[in-house]
Amino acid sequence: MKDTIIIGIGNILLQDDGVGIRVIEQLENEILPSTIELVDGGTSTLDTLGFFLDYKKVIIVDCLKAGLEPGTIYKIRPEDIKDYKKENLSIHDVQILEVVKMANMMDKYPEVIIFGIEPEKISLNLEMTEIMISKIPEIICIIKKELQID
Amino acid sequence: MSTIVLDPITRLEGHLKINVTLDANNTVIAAQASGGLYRDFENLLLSRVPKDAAFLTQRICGLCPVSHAISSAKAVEQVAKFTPSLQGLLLRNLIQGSNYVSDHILHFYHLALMDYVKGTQIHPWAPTYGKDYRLSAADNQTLADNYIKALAIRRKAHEMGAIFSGKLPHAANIVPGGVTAIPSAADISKFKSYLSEITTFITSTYQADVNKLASVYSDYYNIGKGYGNLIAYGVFDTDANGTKLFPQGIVTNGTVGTFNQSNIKEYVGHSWYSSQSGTNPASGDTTPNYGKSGAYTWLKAPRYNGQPFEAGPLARTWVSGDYKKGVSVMDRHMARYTETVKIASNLSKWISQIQVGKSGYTEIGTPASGSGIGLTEAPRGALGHWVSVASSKISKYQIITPTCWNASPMDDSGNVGPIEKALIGTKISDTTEPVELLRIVHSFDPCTGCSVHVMSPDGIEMSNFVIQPLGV
Repeated sequence: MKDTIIIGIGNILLQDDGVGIRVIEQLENEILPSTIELVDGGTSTLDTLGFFLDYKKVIIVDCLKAGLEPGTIYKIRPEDIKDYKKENLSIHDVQILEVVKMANMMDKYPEVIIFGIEPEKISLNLEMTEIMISKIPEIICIIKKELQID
Repeated sequence: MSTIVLDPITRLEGHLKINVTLDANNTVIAAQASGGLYRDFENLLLSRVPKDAAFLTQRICGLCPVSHAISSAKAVEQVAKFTPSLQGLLLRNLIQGSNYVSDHILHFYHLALMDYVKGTQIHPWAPTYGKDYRLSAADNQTLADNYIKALAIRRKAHEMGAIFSGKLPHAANIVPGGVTAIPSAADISKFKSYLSEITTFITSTYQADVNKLASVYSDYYNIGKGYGNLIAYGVFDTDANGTKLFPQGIVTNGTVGTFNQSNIKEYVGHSWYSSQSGTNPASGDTTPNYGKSGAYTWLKAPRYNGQPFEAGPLARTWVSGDYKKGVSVMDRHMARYTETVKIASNLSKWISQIQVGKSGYTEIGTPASGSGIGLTEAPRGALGHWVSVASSKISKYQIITPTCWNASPMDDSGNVGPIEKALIGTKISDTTEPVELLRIVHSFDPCTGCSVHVMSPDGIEMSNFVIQPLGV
């Protein structure tokens, strides 16, 4: 029975923005426990709602621009940022948090963890930057550690 | 005289900024719609194998990936002088039709409705304006409850589409040559079962809700009218001879006329491009020039016979004759509903025509040279891909999306775009909460999503969330 899903979000046409998808592609080559499902969510964030209803644990991998060093890996949970007052917080394109809210409205409360990776460049290119490519093994290690996979 | 700037407009895909100027009576006398995202996916396709375009262009957008894949496949098929088998065309209809149903429900309940219904004050309902909520408490509650019901139905429509597309959001099997799926009896029965539940929702709940909205806000039949020029490229092949469920056509002064794609020209006088202005997309190019004097948007201005035209469900239903009462905010919602019913009923016809065990795909190889045009309709309006092939590689590619038509800027002759025109003349009752503007813009279901989805949380100290490098 699958109870955990890893969803990659992003646009592979826009260089480092596609990191989430590239991580999923790499994970497809790995041997993972049968309880784990992998999904290429592309740019259709709102269409991932169903996964939040069906799985106990949802891992999101996405590009996250917060201004620190390119390649920085962030780990956030929706509850980490929900208490920020509205006037101090404007989140553009963080649709994934809306999806979490929608799932909650439907009485589903999966554990959600977002791994965000700081991009170096977002421009039209199917190839990611060197620094982003070099980070993929580390991102995969971190995800495996999170899921206690050896 | 004062101005209102809404930036970004929330509850739509992508980034759209609206800037209006008001006179002393708070009536809009000028409007500018700005797409804040540079869109140049076309150049990425150059020198690639033509069939790759169907995979890549659907990545442009998270809402209309299916329509982009179909448009691209049709363009390449035209280069190869090939039309897919009826089985292939019907499979495309089933995938695209499921996407329409899912998208129209999303638009009505999850993007547009909150301009009229007071939801709980949590995101995504908040922030909302506190003005002009006219529904009774009981009706308001019903619609808020149906917002949640619609989430479940929309998910089912999405799963219905995935039965034959293999994988959604980004379908892997809509390719030049047809659809690489071999339907089983189980697939067909699963599709029918989803469709039955979804159809019940559309013909009962959605119908009651859109009618309720239209009766309480009937003044919106006179708001956001715009030019009244409508354009449809046609969609849903019902045979292999090009007959469409929604035929192509243009509407001017309420009369349907013949459409000819060679009358489409794109203008860049007020867009951040130095491309040649006034060219058909088959010969157009995309050369950015940010900061160009007099320009205010990344969208080009497509025009038909030099005039602005509105694309969308209302254009389709007017040309097909299914709904042609008027052009306004509420007419757009009614047309979208009318179309949803018609698509659901035709999905049921198409699924019964599907042959078990028969592939919808024919190998067509790679065309060596030529040009082709793939015209279809995304849920939010007319979509076209123009491709040229030389030495078996893409040598030119241009896309005009429906939002390029609707949210287009002023053209070189001084005609404003359809959304801009629809905003002009609107009286704003409270300039601090201009809900009228939001209702008008949302009625077009704009999507400038062809864009970056990077997360960028402002106002949060993100260094608290950095993962330290693992020991090596």
